[in-house]
Amino acid sequence: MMKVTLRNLCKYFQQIKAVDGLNLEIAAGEFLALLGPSGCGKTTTLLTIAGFYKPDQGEIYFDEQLVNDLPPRLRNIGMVFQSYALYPHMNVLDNIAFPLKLQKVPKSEWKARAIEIAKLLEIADLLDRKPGQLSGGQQQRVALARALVRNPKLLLLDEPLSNLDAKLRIFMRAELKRLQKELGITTIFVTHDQIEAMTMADRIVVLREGRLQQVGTPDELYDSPANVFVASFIGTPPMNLLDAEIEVGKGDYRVKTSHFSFSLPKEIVAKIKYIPSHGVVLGIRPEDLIIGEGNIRGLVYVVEPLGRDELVTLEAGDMRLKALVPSRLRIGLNDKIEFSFSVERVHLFDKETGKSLYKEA
Amino acid sequence: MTKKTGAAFPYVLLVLVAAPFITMYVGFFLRAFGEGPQLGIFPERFGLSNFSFLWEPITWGLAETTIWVALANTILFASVSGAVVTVVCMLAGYAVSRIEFKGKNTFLVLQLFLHAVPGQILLIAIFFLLYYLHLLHKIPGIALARASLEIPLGVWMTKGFFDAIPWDVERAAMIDGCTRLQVWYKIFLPLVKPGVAAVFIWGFLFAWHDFIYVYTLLPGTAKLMSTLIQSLLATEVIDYGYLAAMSLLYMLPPLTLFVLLQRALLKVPIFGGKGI
Amino acid sequence: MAVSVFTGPSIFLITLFYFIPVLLTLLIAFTDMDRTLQWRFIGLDNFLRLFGVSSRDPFVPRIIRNTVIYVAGTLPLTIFGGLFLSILSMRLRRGMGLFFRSIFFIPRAIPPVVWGFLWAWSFEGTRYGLFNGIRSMLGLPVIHWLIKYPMVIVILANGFLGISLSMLVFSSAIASIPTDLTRAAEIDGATRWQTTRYIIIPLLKWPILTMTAWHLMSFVNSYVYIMLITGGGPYYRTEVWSLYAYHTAFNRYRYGYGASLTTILIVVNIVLLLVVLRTFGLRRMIGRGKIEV
Repeated sequence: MMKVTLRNLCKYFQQIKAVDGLNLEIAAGEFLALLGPSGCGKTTTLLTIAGFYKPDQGEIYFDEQLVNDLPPRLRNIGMVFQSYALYPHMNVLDNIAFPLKLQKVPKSEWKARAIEIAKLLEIADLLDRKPGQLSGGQQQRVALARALVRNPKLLLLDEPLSNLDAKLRIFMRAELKRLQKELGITTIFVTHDQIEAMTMADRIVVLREGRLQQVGTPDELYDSPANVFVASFIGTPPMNLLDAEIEVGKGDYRVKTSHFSFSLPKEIVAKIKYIPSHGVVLGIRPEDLIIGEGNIRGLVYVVEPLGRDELVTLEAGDMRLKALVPSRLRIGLNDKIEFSFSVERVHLFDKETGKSLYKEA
Repeated sequence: MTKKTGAAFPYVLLVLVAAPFITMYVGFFLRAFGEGPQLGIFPERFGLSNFSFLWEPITWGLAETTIWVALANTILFASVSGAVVTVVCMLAGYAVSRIEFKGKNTFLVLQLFLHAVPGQILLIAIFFLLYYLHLLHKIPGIALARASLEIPLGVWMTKGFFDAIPWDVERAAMIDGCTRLQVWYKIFLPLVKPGVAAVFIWGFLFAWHDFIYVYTLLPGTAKLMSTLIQSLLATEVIDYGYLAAMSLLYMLPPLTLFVLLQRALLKVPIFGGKGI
Repeated sequence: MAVSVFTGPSIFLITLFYFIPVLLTLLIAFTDMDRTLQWRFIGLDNFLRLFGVSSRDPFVPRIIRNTVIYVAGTLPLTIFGGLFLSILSMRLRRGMGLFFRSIFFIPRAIPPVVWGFLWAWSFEGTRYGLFNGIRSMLGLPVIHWLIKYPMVIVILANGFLGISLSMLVFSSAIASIPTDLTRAAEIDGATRWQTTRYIIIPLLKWPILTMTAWHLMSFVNSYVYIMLITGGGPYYRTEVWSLYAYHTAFNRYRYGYGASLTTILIVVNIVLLLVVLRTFGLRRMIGRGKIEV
């Protein structure tokens, strides 16, 4: 088990700052997700940790050892690539045993260890096959076996599930999570899929344009997003974000949008750091909207059935809001309805900086 | 420290292997623009006197010609060859890409075989063939023979261009009332325009560079650039500067073409060069 | 039939300039045709002479030896040289790699006559040759390269011509190896050399095989560059089979005997083609080259 520390990590490609001043501590045995849209620098971060890119600034520590100049092969890490990168000319056994052979491990031992790890991953019956003869799921397991066979201190996974079909992906999510806990290897994985990150990781790092947005457990990110970007990126369907203003009266904070207004409850007022003069962004999660009761009038614009729930798009004034409601409500197109929302669960952001107005927990 | 030497290692090896060649190329270039005797790489002084063939007739032995005649001959030879390669390959390439016919696979494999067998070993027979056809000593006739060498690969090349066009385009054209020949002419040729240019240039270039066909089948004083340079090289006293300058002029058109049309040409497999 | 409109012209030209010449060669091979261009069939006389059964051709053993040495020299140079240069140049930064690959591609980009001229001039035996000029500037005596080492010069000139193609093919094959594969090898603990040895070279198996087959045929038949650089001399020391056939026909005007020499070459070609075909399999030859395993 090894802890990884990134200190002010920067990586530039010509003018583009792929990673810009990243500070991060990854605890020993932790399962950490690097999450962000494409081009956010998550893969660059991973490849820099692996040693393929040299940081332009900043340091990377494995435990207390500075590894900036250590070549990848000496870092004792395992990595599963997005394409799996199995060696097409070697069979499964040779693929898995390749790292051990390079270490000049005697044949009897490498064979035993490779078979052992193959058994763990349930691919022991595929050892004679070539990668081309394997399904996507099998290829992934072989890649995982190869990454694990030399007992790495750190495991890196680059979009490990993106090449699998939907059903297998859900299955492998659970499998990977269990395996990681069982082996206890510090693991960093890169994904653009927030559900993947939420379901698997102990902590999630949200990146955007090379900059850290927020680090936290899945619940922390969901319940108290640090800024508008995280708020809109985490959670499906995404949070409703509305322009609003806060009017301060006598002991009363009133949030006004172009169509409705409401008073903030005390527990929210207590969390607010400051009131910006230039307006705020009001965030309401779709599941916090209550349809059929309340004093806001709206029109049903679209209904998208999701099975257990329905995703309803409401038109209210010049705004459109998405609401997640139980299917049994039987809402029809163009219905005129009243709705409200749980005021104690709203989010408020500074309109200019996008940062949350709430104090950090 | 060791890492630095490790990174420099490929450079050192490559420079070692490349050095003689770079010397040859640079020496050649300087020779063309040099005057007076040249020892090693650098000439005594620089000047354009080596390019005197541009304004004076060229003589070797008792024969005489001008550079413009040689250039005109070469352009004629290369253009005919390029045009033949283009038309013939564009037709055949369409057929093997789009039409199912008996013997299609045999036809394609045959082209591969022929591509592997260098046609230059058949020159004795081709000499007689042209003689009986009364095409010997005639530039277009020799160009036709030279063009045939490029057909096997050309068919594969054009097949590649046509393969890239969606079948629906062809189906739509046929529903609109085109015959196959009209589809080829009205739809496909415009669609593969860069390909047409590439095939033409490719046929043109190989003919432009050709030496052995012209040398063998067009004897006497009618010279193309390649045979002219060879004749001057075969004389008793060789003026290397003069030859270097003429070679430079000879290489100029293909180089210009290549630079201008680099993009289109890069899609073409440069597999030719049977003259090895 | 409609299809003949498309295939007709190519079939016509191929028949005219490949098949008929092959038949014509076979016919002429059984005559003693000379510069009068009279057909007079003399049965197997040419071949008997060639194989040393009657009135032996004294040059044949020497020509065979030259051809074997020439192919045995050029082919490994082309394949190993191409591998060496492509692997090295692909390690460099893009621009530098491209620079070196261009240097080694020039032989194929320039006309044969100019390539021949470059070598003839560079290795000319007087002070006016390029390398002897440099030597004499350094106070070294001139070397008569083309007289002392004609075969070496010819092998180098043709070998580097082969390299220009094999290097290009190998380089693009290396470029098509996904970066993930070499990165994975590095993660697995492989050094640069081990990655090359265990990952890159095995993945080049198919291009190496094709290039070997291709250049084997090419070198067996090649004579144009030898003709331009040494003319087969000095005194037959670089005269290979195909050049001997050419000289016999066009310099000594013994078309009949030249055709019989060519006939042997055609037979060798067909045998080589069949061997290549057996090794590669027809299907793979028509199929597109991917990374083959």
